[in-house]
Amino acid sequence: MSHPNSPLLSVQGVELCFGPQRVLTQVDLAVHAGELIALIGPSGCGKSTLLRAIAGLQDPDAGSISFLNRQLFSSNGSIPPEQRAIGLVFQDGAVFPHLSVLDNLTFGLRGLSSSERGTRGKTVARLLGIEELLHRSPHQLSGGQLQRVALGRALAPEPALLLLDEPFAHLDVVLRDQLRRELFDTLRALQIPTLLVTHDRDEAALADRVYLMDSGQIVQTATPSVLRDKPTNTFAATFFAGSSLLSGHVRGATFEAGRWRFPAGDSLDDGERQLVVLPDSIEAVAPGHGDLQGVLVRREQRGGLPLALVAESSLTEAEGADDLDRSQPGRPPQCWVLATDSTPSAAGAPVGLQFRRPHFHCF
Amino acid sequence: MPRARLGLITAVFVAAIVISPIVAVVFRAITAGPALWARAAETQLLPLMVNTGLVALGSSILALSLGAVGAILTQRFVFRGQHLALLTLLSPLAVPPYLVAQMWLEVTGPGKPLALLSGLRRTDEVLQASLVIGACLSPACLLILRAALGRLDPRQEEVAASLGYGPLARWRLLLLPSLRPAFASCLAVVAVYACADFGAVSTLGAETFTRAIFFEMEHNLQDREAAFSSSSILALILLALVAAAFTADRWLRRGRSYAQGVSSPQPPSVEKLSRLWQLGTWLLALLITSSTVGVVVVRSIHHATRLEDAGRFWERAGSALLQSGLWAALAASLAVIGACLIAWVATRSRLRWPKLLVPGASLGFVLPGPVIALGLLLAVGTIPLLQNAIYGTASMLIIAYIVRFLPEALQAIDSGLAQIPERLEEASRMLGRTAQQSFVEVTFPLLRSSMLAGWILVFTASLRELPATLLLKPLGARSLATEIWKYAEDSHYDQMAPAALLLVALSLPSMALLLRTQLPETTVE
Repeated sequence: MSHPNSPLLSVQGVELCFGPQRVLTQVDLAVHAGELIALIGPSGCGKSTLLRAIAGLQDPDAGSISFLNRQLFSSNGSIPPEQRAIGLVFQDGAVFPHLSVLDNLTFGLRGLSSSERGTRGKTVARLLGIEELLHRSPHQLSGGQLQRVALGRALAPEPALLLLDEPFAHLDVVLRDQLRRELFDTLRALQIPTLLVTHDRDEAALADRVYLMDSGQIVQTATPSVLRDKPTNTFAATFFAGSSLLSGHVRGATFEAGRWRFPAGDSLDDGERQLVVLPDSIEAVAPGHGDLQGVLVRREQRGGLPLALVAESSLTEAEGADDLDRSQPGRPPQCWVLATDSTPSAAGAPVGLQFRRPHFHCF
Repeated sequence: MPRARLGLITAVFVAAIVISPIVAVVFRAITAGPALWARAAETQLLPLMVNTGLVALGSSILALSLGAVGAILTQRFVFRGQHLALLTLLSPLAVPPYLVAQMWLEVTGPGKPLALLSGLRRTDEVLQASLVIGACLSPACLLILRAALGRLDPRQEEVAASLGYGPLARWRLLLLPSLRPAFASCLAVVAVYACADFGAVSTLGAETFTRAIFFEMEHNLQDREAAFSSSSILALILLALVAAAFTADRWLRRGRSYAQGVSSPQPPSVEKLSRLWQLGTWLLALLITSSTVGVVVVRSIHHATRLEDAGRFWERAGSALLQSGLWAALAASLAVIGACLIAWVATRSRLRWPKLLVPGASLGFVLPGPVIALGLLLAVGTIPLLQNAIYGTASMLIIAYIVRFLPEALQAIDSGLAQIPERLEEASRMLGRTAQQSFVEVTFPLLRSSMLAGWILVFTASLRELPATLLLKPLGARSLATEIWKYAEDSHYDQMAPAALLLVALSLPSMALLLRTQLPETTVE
């Protein structure tokens, strides 16, 4: 998605330290009108801190944050959170326990008459499917209902930007998928620009653009498909796409890892490289078929896909028990690939590998 | 944020007021000069240390023993009438120890109902003071031990049972070691209270530090400065004793926590109590309650019914109640506001040092009334303008109550605030409220019950406070505690009865509050 217009939210060069620990380093981020942006990274990488800085709950040490052409934070000062017109949904909802559902939904509607507040609260409740709960107390609600109330409370004042801090993390898988789908549909229908913090790559894959974060830095920004297919570093490849990395050499347009040979494109210089193997870029088929031959280590269901860990040659028992997804020095190359009906199920069985793309990405 | 900084500065100011009497006393003692130190060492220090130490030791051992038996019987067993037994065991909290001591002297006097026990009166004063304070404070130990027992993980015992350990072995190997920190807390709480007690020890004639400080200040009027210096020396030694009690507590608790976590995944296991043990429990409860609150209430009613010119004395007690009620209400309100401010700043500040405000402002808990009075007089004396404005007025007394009892409000409010996630205030701010509006609209409604509990605790404690009131009250002013003291000194128990009964009645709200926290934990058949 291209954005010729200037961004609604612009974060530039933000830095933040907690005592001696540097939490954010030179962070740049932009959100354009109507965009759904995912900020993804491992736990403790600083993504929630960045969200709190944008919300105004934590002042950075340096950098600037502007929103709707207004400077929210700079070296000249900071605008308090209540004046930023930004909605925020916490991981645990933070629903006010002493207020009813309706009072929670209308809490942010100031300057409206009582009847206007009520009408708006009911509209939001209908949108989120909680209209029957309006007069209940939060302690009478389930986890999913509480999170709907928290979302409704943030949406009711029609924020110019919505910040979501892992809002589905406390929900079970079925409820999480359902609520996520409903919420994203609603946000896109309402054209509310949204910044979603998550560590779930399936969730991030639904965004328009993804900011990948590691150790307080943005390591790559791209659409989910580009981030998956063309990661710029090994962290992006393994964390976002769940790819396996193979160590080996590029000679000509071929990547060599042990006896395995992969098409690597012809724009690479010869030398030691790492090859990115997306799980769905190779299929495990019956032995003797396909482009390569290997040995099955084990089968597993991962991210809803049937996968097989395949090694270039037989592993010793100790090597086979190791759960690493990447090749290690002194052991045969191995990678996760897609399992099919013709994939053998017994560990140690020979297996064929069928490429599903013309060439593979290398670093 | 300027307003946040203002809140921090105000919280520091409140904590500084609480700490200032200690600083003043310590400074005066250190600068008292070698002559006064030598005189104190020659004449008073050793007997005072021995007596204070013995009262602290005796009362804490008695309170711990009674409290432990009561806690085990009401927490680990079920029996019919368990709530009533618990209420009976907690009832001594409704009466201050000095009232029990006074009634004990009255009821064992010649020709009185328990004159047979008058032999006990001739025993050592220290022993009598230990018995009274120990019995009156046994509910505090009961509460601490019940809480500790309630937090033990029952799965540990189940595991031990599955490994072949019988009930006695489980107690010896698991429960008692786990309860060691709670035992240490009980000993420390009662010892600190006994060191700080003035009314009971003075009534029974035990020569302890608080009594010596009080009489030094009250009677040595010729040389006021020397009296303040001598009192400060005694107060400093007393504070050292209190610090020793706390250090012993920390040492006994080293490397251990009360239990396995904030709450057990299962309720504690309970067993049915046999009839014989039920009888024993009731006898213990009746013994404790009849020797404390029972004797006070029964004898006060008896005296009140024989009171001549009863209307005048009830009216006098009523006016004392109004006056001391007003002081106590003001002190409670200001203490709650101060405690809110300190707790809020300590829990919400991004800085680390404001967290020290909570223990700092809690120091008043260990300060005896006479020491607080002395410290305030010294601290106020350093600022002539302030001295002229508040010396001899009720303001001094109200400040003394705040210094002494703010920790009680702080404990209630700090634990209440800790249960309110900061996220709620942040969510409120993201919805357009300022920090102050968020406190009013979100935090305050959730903190209200803790604030009310804190208010009731400070109000009741201030109403009962004796030594600081005697030393600091405005001339001619009366409080319920000073009325009781005045009549008891002259053995006018009939005239004392209205004030005593009103004081017991006013302790009932805090008793109710306490019971509300205890009853849900008790399992009944």
